[in-house]
Amino acid sequence: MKILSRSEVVDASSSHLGLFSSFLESVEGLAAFARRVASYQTPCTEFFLRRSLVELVAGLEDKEAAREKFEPVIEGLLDQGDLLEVEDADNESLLLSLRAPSALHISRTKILLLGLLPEGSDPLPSEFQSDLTFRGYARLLTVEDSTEALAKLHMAGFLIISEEEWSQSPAPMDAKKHLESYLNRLRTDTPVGHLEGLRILDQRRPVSYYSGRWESQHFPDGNHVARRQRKYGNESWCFVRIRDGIAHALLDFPTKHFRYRACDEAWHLQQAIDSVAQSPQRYRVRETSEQDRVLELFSPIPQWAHRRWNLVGEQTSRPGCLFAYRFASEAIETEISFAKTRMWLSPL
Amino acid sequence: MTLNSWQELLVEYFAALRQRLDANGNRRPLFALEHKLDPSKFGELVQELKIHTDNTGPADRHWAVWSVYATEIGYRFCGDEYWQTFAEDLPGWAKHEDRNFIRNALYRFYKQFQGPVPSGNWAKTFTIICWPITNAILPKDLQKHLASTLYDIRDSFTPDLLSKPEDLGRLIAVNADRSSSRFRRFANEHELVGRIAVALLRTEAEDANDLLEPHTLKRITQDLLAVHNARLWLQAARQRASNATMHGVRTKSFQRPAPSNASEGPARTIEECRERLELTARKTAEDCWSIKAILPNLSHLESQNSAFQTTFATRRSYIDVSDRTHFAPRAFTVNRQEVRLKDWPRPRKSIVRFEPSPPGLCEMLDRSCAIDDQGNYLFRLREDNEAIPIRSRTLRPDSQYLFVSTRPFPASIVLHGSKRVRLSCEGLDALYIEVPEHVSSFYVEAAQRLGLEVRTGIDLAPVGYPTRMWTGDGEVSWNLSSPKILGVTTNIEVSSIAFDLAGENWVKRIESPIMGRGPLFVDLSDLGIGSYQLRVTTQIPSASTTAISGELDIEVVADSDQVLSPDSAQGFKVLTSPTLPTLEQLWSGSTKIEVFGPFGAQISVRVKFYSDAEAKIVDWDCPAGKLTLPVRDSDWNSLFQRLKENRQAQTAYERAASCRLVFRSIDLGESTLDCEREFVPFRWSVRTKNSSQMLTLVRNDSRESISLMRSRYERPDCFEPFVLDAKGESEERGPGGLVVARTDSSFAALILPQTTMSSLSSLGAVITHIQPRRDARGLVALSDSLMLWNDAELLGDPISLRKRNGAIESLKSAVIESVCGSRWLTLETDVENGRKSLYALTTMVTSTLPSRIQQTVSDIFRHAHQLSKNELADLALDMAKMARLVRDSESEMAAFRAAFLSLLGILSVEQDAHATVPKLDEGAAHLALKSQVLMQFIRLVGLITRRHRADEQEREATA
Repeated sequence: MKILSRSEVVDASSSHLGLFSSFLESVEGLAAFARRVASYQTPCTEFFLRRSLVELVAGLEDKEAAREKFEPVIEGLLDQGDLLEVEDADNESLLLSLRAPSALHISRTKILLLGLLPEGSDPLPSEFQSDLTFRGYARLLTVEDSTEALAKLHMAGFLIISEEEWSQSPAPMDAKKHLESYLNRLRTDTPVGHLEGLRILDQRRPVSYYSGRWESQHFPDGNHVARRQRKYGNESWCFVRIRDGIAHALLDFPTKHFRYRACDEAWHLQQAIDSVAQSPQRYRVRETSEQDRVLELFSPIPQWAHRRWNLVGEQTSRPGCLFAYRFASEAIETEISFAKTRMWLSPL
Repeated sequence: MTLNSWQELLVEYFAALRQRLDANGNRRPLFALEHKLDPSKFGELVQELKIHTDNTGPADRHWAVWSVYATEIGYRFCGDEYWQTFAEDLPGWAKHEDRNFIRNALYRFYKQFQGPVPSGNWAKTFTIICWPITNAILPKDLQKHLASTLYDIRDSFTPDLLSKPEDLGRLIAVNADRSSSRFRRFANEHELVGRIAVALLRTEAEDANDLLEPHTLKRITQDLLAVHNARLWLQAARQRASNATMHGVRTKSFQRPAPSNASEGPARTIEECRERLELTARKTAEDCWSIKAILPNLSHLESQNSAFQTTFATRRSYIDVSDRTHFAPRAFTVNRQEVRLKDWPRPRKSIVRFEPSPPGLCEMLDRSCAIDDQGNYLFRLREDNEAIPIRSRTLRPDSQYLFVSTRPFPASIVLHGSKRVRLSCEGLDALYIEVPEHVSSFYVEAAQRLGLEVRTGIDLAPVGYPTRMWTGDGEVSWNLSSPKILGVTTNIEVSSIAFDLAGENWVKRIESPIMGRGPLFVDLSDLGIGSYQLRVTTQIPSASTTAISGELDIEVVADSDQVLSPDSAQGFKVLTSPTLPTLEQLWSGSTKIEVFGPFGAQISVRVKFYSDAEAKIVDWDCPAGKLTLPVRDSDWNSLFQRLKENRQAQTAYERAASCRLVFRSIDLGESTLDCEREFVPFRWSVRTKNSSQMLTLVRNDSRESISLMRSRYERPDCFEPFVLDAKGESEERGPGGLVVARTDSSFAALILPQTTMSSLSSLGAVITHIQPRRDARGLVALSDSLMLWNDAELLGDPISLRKRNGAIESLKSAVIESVCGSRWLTLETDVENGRKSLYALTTMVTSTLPSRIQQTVSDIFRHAHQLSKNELADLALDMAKMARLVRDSESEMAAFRAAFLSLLGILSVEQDAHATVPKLDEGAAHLALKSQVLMQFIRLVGLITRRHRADEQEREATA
């Protein structure tokens, strides 16, 4: 038993997380800390995990600063695939859960590790510990022969996922057709009753400021991606037809057989709505170095896009945009084409 | 070296070894696997045998050589055909095959060196290969099962258990139900298995060498460690064994120095918490709450008692006070189950019940699945609307609570910021309390009147690293290797803080000045596994005598030793009954499969058929479809039925030696279920051709004579003999039916599909009226036919199933008519068709009984569905004694009980129940024909139980 200073506490935790610098000072450190906390706390709500993260750094970090730092981390781990959202059948709410430890082949020498075990257990065989590196929210193994390494990881209990299984995205489709497929499902046209806590994504507002697009008071006529309050738990996502300020048709997300999360379906539909309305969502490419290009985005994108870009690039943060991805300069054209054809994005 | 020299060498070696063991007073059996030949030497020996068998048959003078060779084949044996492997290295063996010679050689080994003697049913069924396999100690493919079972029972290791191989062996046997049937059989040799297990777990122990020769133990261990998962399982099990020998049972909590203002008893250990029912509350709407009971995982009780284990694995369980009332077998031994309480349970009475329940289980459950009799509970509300129990009953400023009591709260609540709320659980009064940020002394007094304390002063919380458990009020649990750091803050100015840490018979103290209100960080990372108490005392600068103190119960437990397995998903659980079905059980539909995991998650199912038992050579691989969690037995059945109707799948099944089901979700992981063909002395193998089926009899043990018979769907009680051709095959075409191969002790029966179709009507079931038999021998023959048709393997096509069910129906009616009478059968048919109620049958039974026992029998019928077979047998015996059917003699009563149980099985047979029909002996047949009313009683019990089960299933489906 001994008394420690603040920096000694941070050092002890960082070193236990396998980091060489303070876990509070980098995306990699915050992600590693959040992964470890989640491995003890899940299944739990996102709100609860967020609060636990902040409470566990009480005294090491100012409360507000901690909240701000951890704000994007859980979403980052969901996009990366270490955490999952599962339905709590009892309460119709979503809970965070751990993805089963999995490995994904990226190249002849690179493997992406996903998933966690409860109680901080580390499923990675000791022979690979020194090959592990952190890059943003991703954990990568650099090995001599990824085929051989994957076989060993499988023997160690890792689920081996193919790239095709992992980042399977919807087939390329015209934005108008995509929107029509949802409009066809808004069959009824009679008032659907009062929707508690309804707020819509107002398509008339600028696409480059996502949080400013939400409207909860005055609902214009039209078909909108929206969120509404549930009895408890998180808000749910839906597609709603508004007439004279009243909801006349409603489609809850995720729709049957949709593979990803409700928000992914909603965001992809919003991309189609904006594109059809001639105000497509935007991207911007910045040249950060000779080898790197950064793709800046201003609205959320579906998880299948994150999964693809986490494989070929690295998520990063940039001022003036919602989030960004760093790609090798030779990969940027392919990814821009992906953004244009699958999500109907346009350059700013 | 010639075979004669090998023989000489081996006899000399084994004799010397026996002599050494005897000299040390070690009477353990000597195994032929302990031969000490390295692989190259053994290769030379095989080479000599090859040369020998190319020219002639095995010779008596080489019995020790053959013993070692046969044992080595036994060591490699993995459930395929033993003799095929045996002949692979000795092509000449086929010409001079003499299977009995191998038994005789190993018998001689037993006589000369006190080798092991095979025992049990396994030895009676496989009279030859039981010898080499027993001498192989732990055949390779059973090794991973042993490692896995040792891993499963690692929590039960104590120094005492590890010093008693037979007890350990018994515990392994009790827990072997998740392993293959061969391992279960092997595990019945308690002492042998216990010895091997001790040797594997305690390699460093001095007595390990007494159990087996060191080189043999090393060989088995090395083979076992070569399998990745087995290695991890064994490592984890060894670690626990080592802890057990070092620390004893580590879950015991020790006596701490009593804190001066202790308001509670000693803290419970984490294991105790895990093994007990816990309550939580949840806010479900404004002013409305529910109470949830989190039940313990009962798997720890399994290892204590085999009857408990059987009950958990096979019986449904019930909770009357919750919104979910029925639970599948194993539900409480896989996960901790959560239920919402609709009624407040009786204190100290388990809310879970099993029916029937073995002796001692109720008492065990009362200890772990019941609430205590405190009468009131305090829960602290978290931001996610979940409320966790606070045992200290201490309120913290600026927090919200739910306080529930079995006694009504006073009408006027004087606690500021509290209000009455509704609970969805009957029998409780509930108060929602919102504690203000600053509390007055008036508030503290008011809280005390309700039996609550209010905490002010110190705030302690883990910092920098997550804990296993942190209640927020006085209890924390860390893993051993985790940083264990606490941050201390105060809500008043203090000058210094003192920490007193109490362990077993020791107290450490440090004191530190503090700046303002903190935080101050204290590191407890060097604590080892155990329970501790930390007392924190603050000194207030303005009043040197005033101090505020708080206490924290600390638990440090071993790091999780969960072994990630490639065949068991982390995110969902596949439950099967039986736990490890054979390929035949899977295909026949008698295996129940349920999958639990996150609600609504999807898993895909793939089926792979293999042509070997080790699941290495894929013969056919096909996606079977997708399932949405939770998967009920009915969901599984409809998916699997679709697969069974696939012609390619049927052909693959006919050829397969094993099958693997792969349940996969890229989010939740992958689970596999391996099902091997049951290893039997002989079995039918079928290859389907265009318009016929090629039938082969595969013989896995001896070559004793077997009688072959076939029966048609239209006359299921008639059998005609047939023979196989010179190649041991028979080409079958035509209407199909039952084929049977039979010896005195075993039989193999198979339903052959029809290969030709004369008309549409030939596809339907045929119900034949079979004449009832009033003589014992005739009745035995009828029930024998029923047994063969019922137990026969089905290849999967729905037409054969329908026709086989028709045959069973015909035979069942004949048996019932024989023993219960024609009037009964007519009445029963009316009841089945809904023309009459079950009451008509009850009346028919009771009206013929003496009036003094009519009421007793009516009572039995009322409760028949709740009674076990043995209880029913006791009641029937009482009834039979009253009716003077049985005299008060031990032997007569025992015979009656046995007859009752077999008749109950025969008369309760149902087409799709997948239960085996017991064999009827002539004694039971005589009894059956002597008392029609007793047979009616038995039949009625079967009908009542079936109806109750159907009602229950319907209720469950509705729920």
